[in-house]
Amino acid sequence: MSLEFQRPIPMDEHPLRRRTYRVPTPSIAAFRALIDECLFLFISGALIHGRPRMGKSYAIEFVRRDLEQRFPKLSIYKMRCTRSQVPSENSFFATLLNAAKHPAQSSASKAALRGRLVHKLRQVADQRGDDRVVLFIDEAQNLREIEYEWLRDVHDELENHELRLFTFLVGQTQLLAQKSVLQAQDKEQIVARFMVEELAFRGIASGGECAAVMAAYDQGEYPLASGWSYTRFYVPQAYSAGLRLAESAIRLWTAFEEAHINARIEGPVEIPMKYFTSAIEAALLLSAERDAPTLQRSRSMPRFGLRWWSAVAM
Amino acid sequence: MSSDLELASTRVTQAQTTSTCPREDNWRYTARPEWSSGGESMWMRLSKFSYCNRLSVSELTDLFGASHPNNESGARDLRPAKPWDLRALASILDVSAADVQSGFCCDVLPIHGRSSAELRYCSACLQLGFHAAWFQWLTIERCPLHGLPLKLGCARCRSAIPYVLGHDLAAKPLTCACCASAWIPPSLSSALQ
Repeated sequence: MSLEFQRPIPMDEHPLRRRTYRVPTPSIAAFRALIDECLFLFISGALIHGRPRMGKSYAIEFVRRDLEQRFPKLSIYKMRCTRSQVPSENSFFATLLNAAKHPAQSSASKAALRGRLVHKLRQVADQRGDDRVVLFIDEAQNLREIEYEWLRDVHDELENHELRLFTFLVGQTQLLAQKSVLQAQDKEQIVARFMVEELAFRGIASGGECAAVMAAYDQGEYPLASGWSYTRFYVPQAYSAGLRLAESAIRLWTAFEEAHINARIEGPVEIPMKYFTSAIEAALLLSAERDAPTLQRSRSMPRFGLRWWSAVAM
Repeated sequence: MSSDLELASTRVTQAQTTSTCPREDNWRYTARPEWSSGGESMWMRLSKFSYCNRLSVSELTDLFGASHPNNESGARDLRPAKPWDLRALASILDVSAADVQSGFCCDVLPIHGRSSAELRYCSACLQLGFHAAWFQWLTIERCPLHGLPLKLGCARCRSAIPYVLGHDLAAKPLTCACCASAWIPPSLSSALQ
């Protein structure tokens, strides 16, 4: 076999096979732009809402790592809210302390836990040399009003120490309704801190978006700067002959649209990220066994995409 | 189309492997070594640590490996270094082994009877958030820096201040347990709080 087609690492070690990679989507790019805008304009909070399974948690992880790379001094935390019968200040602060990686047990008083949290956030920010603290709250639709009040206390205490807390509430579409209720109740102290900006987080919603995501597989490389894009790694001969995933985008999108119509799903087509990436992974992994310069361009991919989509649509 | 432009600058990236161990090295208590200076006593260092972390006395003693409580209250004498886990102190307080050693009295003056079991302090140093371990030596009468006589007891109510890691240090560090007066000025305490 030509050296051109010899992969630089074993196939089992590739992040696509291990599902340890992250691919950007237009919604993630919009999320990223929103964060940049908030940090630049000192907008202290935004809510990002979307239907389940659209990849919101995945997006948090993506933008968190992206922020770490671009702003290494920034303090970044992520907490996940679980719905409890009765909101508990202890468990709320214990969750935040867990996000801040404070190792103490959560058996202390509420005041102690809050003090402990604020000191930890201040210490990390001081050590890093950036007065901006970013907090992502996943499943934020589970937050109750009283929990927003506790969060407001943290926000204000940090502000007293000249630190700026930027909170990104990420959750399901109920978040919008919660914002409306808070506005109707004149709870401006909450809305003005945590819900200034809004972003609708969507799945893949057009052929153009399909192509943009698929192009990331054609361009992203592993190992980094090796010249081995994800597409080339799995089908090196076909890639050398000119195959690019992005060129199959319209066909894949059409297949998803047909599945959507056949399943009689209401509303516009919106492909959850998880199913979209699964379709591409399946296509690449299976095509690797049949790699050849004449490999037909991702003919199998729409089929796999349809299989995933059908499973959801049913 | 701005989102598409942004997308072009963001590529497929490999995610880091998530560890299955929830308590890695980066899980740390809050330590503020920059709030202390060389020669500072372990009483002052632990008071500041307590401010930041709000742990119970039993959690503090477990954390720093202190054995043999002085009495039924579970208080631990802060004069001798021997009962303490010096490595844990250095690691958790984020200071050098030498700083830990110099935070105790009996490393340099191993005669227990010649050091005070009550806090002895220079009021000017305390205003700066500083206390030296050797202020506890009974042979030292004045602060060499300020020339002030070393004092005993709360400046306001005169209650004795035991030189121990006990409930008061854990629950109300740098504050009198009897009259609730702060031993450090508001400007400094607001920085700490």
